[in-house]
Amino acid sequence: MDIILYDKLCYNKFMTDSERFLKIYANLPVNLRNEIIVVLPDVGPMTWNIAYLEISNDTKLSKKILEKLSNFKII
Amino acid sequence: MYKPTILVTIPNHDDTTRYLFAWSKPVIKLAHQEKDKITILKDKQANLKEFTNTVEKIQPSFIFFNGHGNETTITGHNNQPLVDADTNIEVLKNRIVYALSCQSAKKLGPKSIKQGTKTYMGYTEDFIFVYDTNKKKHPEKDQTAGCFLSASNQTAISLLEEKTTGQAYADSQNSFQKTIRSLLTSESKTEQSSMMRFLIWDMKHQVCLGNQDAKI
Amino acid sequence: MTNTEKNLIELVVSRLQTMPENLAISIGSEGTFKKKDLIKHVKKSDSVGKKIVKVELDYLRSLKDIAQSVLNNV
Repeated sequence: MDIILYDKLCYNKFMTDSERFLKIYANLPVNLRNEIIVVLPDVGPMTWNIAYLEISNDTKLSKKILEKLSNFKII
Repeated sequence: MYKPTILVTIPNHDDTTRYLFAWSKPVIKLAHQEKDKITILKDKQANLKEFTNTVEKIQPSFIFFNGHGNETTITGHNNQPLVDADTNIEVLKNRIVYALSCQSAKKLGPKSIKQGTKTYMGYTEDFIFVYDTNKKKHPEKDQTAGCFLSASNQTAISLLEEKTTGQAYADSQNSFQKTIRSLLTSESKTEQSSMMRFLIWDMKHQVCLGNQDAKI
Repeated sequence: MTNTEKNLIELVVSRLQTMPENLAISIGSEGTFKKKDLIKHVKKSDSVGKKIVKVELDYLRSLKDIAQSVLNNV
């Protein structure tokens, strides 16, 4: 199987939302990481960088962040 | 020696067309330098009657439209239709067209190809650009808008440089890509990220329909 | 309007609020819009607002592989 296709399949099927986020974040140009990526009730807008802090520490908030990003198909 | 005949329409009745007017000047300058036969319908001259008569008279090999539009129409001064898919599409027959005009490549473009237009280059969605309101009175000095308009107009410039329509389209796409790449580095300013989404949008929706090997 | 649509509008409005005051956008024959106007249209969810949301969402989804796609075209 073509390695790129295999990678895409893994990306789609076997990665968790958290893993997908971290992969995208790592590949995101530095100057875009300060852009707002999600708005949560009672918390307000959050950037890629703040989302990364939450998600990489597996906080309760990270679940809500990932849910929104997944709903919008951003990850 | 064969020199192509070019027709350029450049209305100038609102902020958008004022910007298109200013940024079409390098294209016109190049055409003059190349000693191409160029006819310009600017301001109020960009109306249906003048357009039709001019096309009939000079039989241009290349028409460069600047202006507003929609899926089936390209407009001129005060948004009057110049070409419409249901009324006078035959005016584009045997010509190469570049339409810097919203959405016209969605329906007008493909229909014109079926009706004998050599190549139709344009946009399948709105052409959106960002500009600096502090520079509105001197649009030619507005480099923010320039990022969009010079990438777009690279199509016309490449055609005047005797490249094929396919090459001209690729040059314009590369010009968009180059600007986008420069905005992705750590040294680009935060405010420049406002431009990124629209540059990507315009690049994605720019198309080249019909003959990819045609020259003007 | 669904919850997802409401959330999306909230997100787009937050992102628009970071746009510099001196910049405006030309959207063909829809006209030209400054930040305040864009936010109004997005909140109203009219044709201009929907267009801006579409552009924004397209862009956000393209960030998955923006670096790769740009490098591939060098």
